[in-house]
Parts: sequence; structure tokens; C-alpha cells
Amino acid sequence: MTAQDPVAAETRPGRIAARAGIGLRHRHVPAFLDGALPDGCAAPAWLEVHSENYLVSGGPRLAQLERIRRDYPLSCHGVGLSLGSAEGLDPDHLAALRGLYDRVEPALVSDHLSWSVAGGTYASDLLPLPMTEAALDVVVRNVARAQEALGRRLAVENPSCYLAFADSTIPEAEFLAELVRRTGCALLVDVNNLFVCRHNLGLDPEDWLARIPGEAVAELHLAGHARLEVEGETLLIDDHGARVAEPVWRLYETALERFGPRPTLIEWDTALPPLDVLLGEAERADAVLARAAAATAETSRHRLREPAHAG
Amino acid sequence: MPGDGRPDPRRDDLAALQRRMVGAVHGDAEAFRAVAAGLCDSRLPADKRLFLHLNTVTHALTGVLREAYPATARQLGAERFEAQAKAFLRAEPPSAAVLSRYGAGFERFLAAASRLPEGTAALARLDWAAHEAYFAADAAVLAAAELAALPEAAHAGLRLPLVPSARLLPLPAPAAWARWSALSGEAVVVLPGAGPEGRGAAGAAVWRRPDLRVATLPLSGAELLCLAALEAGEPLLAAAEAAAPAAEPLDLAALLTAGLAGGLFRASEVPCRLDGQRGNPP
Repeated sequence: MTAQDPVAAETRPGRIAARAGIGLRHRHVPAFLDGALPDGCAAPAWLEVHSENYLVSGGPRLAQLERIRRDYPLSCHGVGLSLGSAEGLDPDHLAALRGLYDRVEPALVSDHLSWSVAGGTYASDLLPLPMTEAALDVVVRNVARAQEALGRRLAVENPSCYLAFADSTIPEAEFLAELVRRTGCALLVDVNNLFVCRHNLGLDPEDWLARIPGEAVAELHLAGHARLEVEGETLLIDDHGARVAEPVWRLYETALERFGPRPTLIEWDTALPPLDVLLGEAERADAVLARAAAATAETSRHRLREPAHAG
Repeated sequence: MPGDGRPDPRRDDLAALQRRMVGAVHGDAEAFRAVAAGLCDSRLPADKRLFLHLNTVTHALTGVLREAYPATARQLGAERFEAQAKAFLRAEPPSAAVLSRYGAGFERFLAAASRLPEGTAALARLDWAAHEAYFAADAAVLAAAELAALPEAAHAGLRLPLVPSARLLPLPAPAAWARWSALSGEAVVVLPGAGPEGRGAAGAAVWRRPDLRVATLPLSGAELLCLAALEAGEPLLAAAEAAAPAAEPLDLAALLTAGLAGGLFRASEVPCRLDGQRGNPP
């Protein structure tokens, strides 16, 4: 494990480099199957899929995924583990995910600091948790169980937030840091979510980035957001339906200064654009990553020279 | 916190909050008020913030139903379909995160709660059959050459199970299959029927072909009975005899030709099991 690539050593075949990938959506699958990417576009370094879209018995989706994974390192991003569920995890869901992951051998697996199932009902949303000791205990127990059942280290993503619970007592970054300490899980830092939470709830992204354990950060997410006017107030909605906003790019640079280069995903789920737009965003992320890698290397050289100067 | 199985009031409190909240985002007004009361009110009232989650859940799940029932949605129109979808998800919300399975029963809900005409209810049944076929388990299919290689004397005892994606549907509304085929567009491969004109089909087969595309074949009453008997494990001769109660004669050769060409029959370790040889050989 190195400072630049802290997770690759722990992951599966087809390791993911600290380069930009894109979320693979069904409409873009034919271009990857046919090797027919838009003219002038570089292929992304890796691809990410939503795990639950592939929990099917058979058919085209699984066949396509198995074909594409031969050419691209793969990350599987879950939306249904419900890591914050006080009732615990669904063993059938865990078993289905294990089956998928054993089949396609993703280099990274992840899910969210959220919950979506209670009392036998599923809400197709990533619902927020009160940031309390009780919730932390629940998430610790669930993440530990998930990692054991999946046979893999799980990366847990910070949420996009629209509301806060009055009885929350633990800052989110501390919550995640303690989760890492107690479970050994990795973190997936969604930079757009940090920006959305700053606007909606007053979270301080720089402070947040400083408080989480950088060595646990396995992946970064970038995405666009929407602005929603409600009773004269503006809320930012993490809809993954636009280009990455300029302030989010700046925050991304801050994150890379803190963590060093990390695999970075361009997420785009709604109002899906032509593939060249998505790949263009990935090329921009790659350029930022290259600058961050150069800066990291320069810093390392500087540190190596310092003892000689001192002597 | 105690480990699994030991009571913990803090965990129980969180579980209770989550049950209320999942009810709130599925439209339970009382649960909504209770959850909103425990949220921070800064800049924007808590109920407006919580409503965002209710709206997300509603929008996502009506979208899931629209994708699973495309022809039905086109038939009903966007506004009417959305109203029915919302009523269904309030009555029968999903229980798990695998949303490709959500929507089973919507066709019955439409027929019962909305008093839809039989033709529209049949569209919904065909939509769900195609949806299930798309995600069904893979299977090797029986090739025509394998069947042709068998001695003719063996044909009567053949068992020809259908592939796991196959769905057989009786259609009380005779025009339903043709209407559904037209509304489905390129999403479904429409095969010419061996027997009846599609407009008057008594039933339909819907399955996923080896090229991974969902296909449909109109069936006469006799063909429907014959395929149902084959699917139930009857040998070919018995399956053909099962079609006798139908009003029209069965053209068995034409049905087998269409089924073999489309990969409707499943291959097994013994390609065509003979009557009296149940199960696989040791």
C-alpha cells in the first residue's frame, strides 16, 4: 500500500489506477461493446456500475457486463445495502451481491452512509441518518457484517443531505473517521455531495476533508447538481444530471491536495448526455489528477533532498 | 451497544424512527408529521426538506413502473398511468432494493382497482411477461438439428420443456396481442403466428431468444394448451392430445418449427428426454 494508491493492493484483479472513470449507463453500453467511442475521445481508465442493476438471473445486462469487464477495470457501486438500517442487513441481498462480485470481480465495491429499508419496506432513496452514537454503532455493525459477507473491503460514501436531525451529536467527518477506525472500511468521498451539504446544511468541506483519514480514501466521485427554489430558498439537489460545477472542480483540487491522486468517477445518471460529453468530463478530471500526481512527486523529491541540505 | 439479539433501547429508537420515516416518504401523513417534528428548521421548514425525499421516492418508483409497463403507459397516457402507478406504490411499496423485480402485481392492481377494460389489463400482463423474460435465467436451447436427428418413432415420447424466460398467457381480449405488439415497438421481436391471425390470438408466448431479445408469438387456443402441457412436463403426444378441447385443430409441426427457430425449447443434458426416462442419466 502506498500513499498514492492506498487501496489497489487490497482489491481484486483489474486494479483501478488513480485515473478518471465514468459511470456506465445502459444507453452507452453499445459504444463500449463495439469499441466505438466517439471520435477524438480517450477511453476512460475504468467503469463503475450500480450493483443492484445487475442482480438479475440472466439476460443481456449480465452478458454485456461480463463482456465489458474484460476490457475495463470495474467498480461496483451499491445503492441498496442500507448500511444504516437499525434492523440489520438483508442476508438475501448480501448473498446476491456476493454472487455478482464473485462473478465480475470488481476492483472496488462501495455503498452509502445511508439507509433505505425499514419494516420490510424499501424506499428508493438514500435516506439520512441521525449522527448519533446509536447510529454509529448500527453502521459499524452493518459494515463489518457486509465486509465479512462480501469477502471484500467496502468503501462507504458520504451522503448528500437535505435535512438534519435535531438530536445529531457527531459531526459527519468524525462519524466516518470512527467508522473507518472500528471496521477498517474504505471511504468514497463524493466531492459534489460535500458541496451540496455545504449549501444545504452549512457543512464546512475544508474542515471535513481535514478530519477524515486520508489513507482510507479509495475513490472520489464528481457529479453535477441542480438548483431547486423552495419558498424563496435555494436547495442544491444531487441529481447527477449536469456537468460538474466549477466550485466542485475547485473543491476536487483541494481534496487531491489533501489525499493525493485517487481513482475518480464522473457520475451522470439523469438527463444523460451523449457519451463524448461524459468522456470530456473524465478527461478534465484526468488532467487535474495528472497535475496532482506531479505535485505529489515534487513534494516527495523535496522531502528526499531536505536531509542533505540539513547536513 | 450490545451485540445482535440483545435489546438496546437506542437501537430500538432508531429502528422506530426509520419505520416512521419509510412510511413518511411513502406518503403516510401521520408518520410524515412525526418525522418532521424531529428535524432541524433552518432557512427552510423541516417538512419542505422531508418532502424532497417523498418526491424522490415517488418519482423513482413511478419511473420503475413506467419502464416495466411501457405499452400500458402508452395506452393509458402519461397522466393516467402516473396516477395509477402512485396508487399502486402507496398500496404495495417495494420490499427490497432490486427494482427489476418491483411491479409484479401491478397488472392485477390495474384490473382490480381501476376497473380497466380487459384489453388494457391484458396489455399490462403482456408487459410484465416481457419484463420478466428480459431478466430471466439463461438456458441452452434445443436446436432443430438435434430434434431432427432422433428417430421418428421417438417423437411421441419427447419432452420439450420451455426455456426459463418463457411465459404463456391466455388473452380473453382477442385484439390485445396485436395492440401490445404495436405499442411495444422495437423493444419486442414480433413473430408471425403459425395458426391464427395475430389480431384474434387466444394467447401468446413471450420469451427471450438466444440473441437476448424478447420475442412474442401469437397462439391459438390449441397451441396454448399444447405448449402449457409441454411446460408441465407432458410428452409430445400427450401435449398434442391436450389441445383437443380447443375449437380449432393443432398444427403441431408449424408450432414446433416456430418454437425451435426462436429458441423456445430448453436443451437438457439429454437433449430430448424420452417418455419413461425421467431425470438425467446417472
